[in-house]
Amino acid sequence: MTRPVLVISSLCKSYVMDNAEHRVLADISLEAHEGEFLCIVGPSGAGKTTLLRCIAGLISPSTGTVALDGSTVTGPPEKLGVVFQDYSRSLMPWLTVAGNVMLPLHSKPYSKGERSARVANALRAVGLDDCHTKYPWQISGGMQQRVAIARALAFEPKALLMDEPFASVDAQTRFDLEDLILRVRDEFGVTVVLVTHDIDEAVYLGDKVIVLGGAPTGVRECIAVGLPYPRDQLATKALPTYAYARQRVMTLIRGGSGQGNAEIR
Amino acid sequence: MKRSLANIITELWFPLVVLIVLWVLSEKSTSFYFPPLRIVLETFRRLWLFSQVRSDVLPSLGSLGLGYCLAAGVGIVLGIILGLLPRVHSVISPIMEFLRAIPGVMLLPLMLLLVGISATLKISVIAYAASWPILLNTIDGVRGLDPGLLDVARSYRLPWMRRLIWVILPAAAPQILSGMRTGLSLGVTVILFSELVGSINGIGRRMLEYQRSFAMPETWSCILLMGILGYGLNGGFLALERRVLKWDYLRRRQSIRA
Repeated sequence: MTRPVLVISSLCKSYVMDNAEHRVLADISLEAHEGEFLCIVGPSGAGKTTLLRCIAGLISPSTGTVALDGSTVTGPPEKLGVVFQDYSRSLMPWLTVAGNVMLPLHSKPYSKGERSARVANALRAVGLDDCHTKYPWQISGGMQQRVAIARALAFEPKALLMDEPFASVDAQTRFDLEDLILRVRDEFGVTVVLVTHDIDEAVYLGDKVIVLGGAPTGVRECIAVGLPYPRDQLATKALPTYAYARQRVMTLIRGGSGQGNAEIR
Repeated sequence: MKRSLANIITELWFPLVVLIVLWVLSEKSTSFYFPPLRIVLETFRRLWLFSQVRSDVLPSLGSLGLGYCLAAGVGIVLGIILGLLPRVHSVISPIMEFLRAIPGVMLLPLMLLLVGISATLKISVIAYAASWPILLNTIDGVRGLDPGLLDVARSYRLPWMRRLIWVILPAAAPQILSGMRTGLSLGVTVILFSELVGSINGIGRRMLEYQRSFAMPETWSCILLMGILGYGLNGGFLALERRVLKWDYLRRRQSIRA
């Protein structure tokens, strides 16, 4: 196994609301190794986004640590590209597609030519070669999310962090984007951490699936999916391994509510 | 080119018709207060094309320009600071509400005593009056910034200056510009008013003199001049707005079509 890129150790996060302390995340530990695709799946309201914001350095954990590429995260890390859920609120409407991808590169010591080359390369990788001068609101939702992915890739991250990135596009576009992200993972050799509530998506994409659950939320289980590459929307989903992993994840998630309650407690 | 000519014709044909009708109707006028349009236009040409431009129009426009630029500078800078620091804003907002309630022209008598009849008087009162809409709109615009965009700016480690120029300012720009437009029309009102009260030159001062000597065509020509200047200023401002907010215009046009 290669060395770990992302290490989360006993992370807890609580908020104070109405003078009472609410624990959202309790003792979460996990690791993502170089080039690995990690999916974090959990029911809605489980604090997935809170966890993601801790990893992104946008908020700090109450206790425990997040380390990226060997150094502890205290603010937004240099080697992390983030793709947010709502693409319409993550791209600047006053910048062109190329301008949006270029924007973060100004905080890196690249020359002008180098920046343009990176932008062009990232846009090519997501299949938006002919959209450089368009504005985000002139292209479809799926294409906008590709721009957000290109922006993250051009930033040259060690890890790509994605918050339900395909939640607001239609099913066909979603499949395309899933395959796209698998492709760029290989091409750019990045570690991907993807947060989702969609079990099928988590199993299809992930090398490992981390199932969150409970209140406060903890790691229920880490499942190694073990599906072969390249993955294919039809063939992969027809494999018994896929069905098994999917069932396992679903059982764990269901365990958090309804009939499964008794079994867990 | 052809299209812009067509645009001008569409915009101007009706005013031209009105002008001709007024010309014809007023031609026989013997009223002292409403002289024939022909005489007003003739007076207009004599006074404002261009013999008194240097002595009166330029001082008025100069004071307006200077006061307005001051207002825009103070309003935008302070607005960004207060927009980004909601706590400071909430502390000083009662004072701001109080000051804002005082019409700018009310400060004229006081300022007249403090700085006397001078360009400083005009400039300072314009700056005061015009800065309010700019300041308040800027605060609103900055506070209305989508937190999602700030998350992006933070997670991609945009340096402070770039964050301001590429994220905060463009997001607030539509509101800042609409505040600036209100500020401009306020500025025009205030410049004339302050020239009526305390000035040795300027369009307002000249008009006061004509009115006091019952020179009606001259008085009317001042009103006509202000109308033309105001129209031009607003047109110029719209053109600037369209340039700065090109993305906003295009986007809105698209969403109307969709």
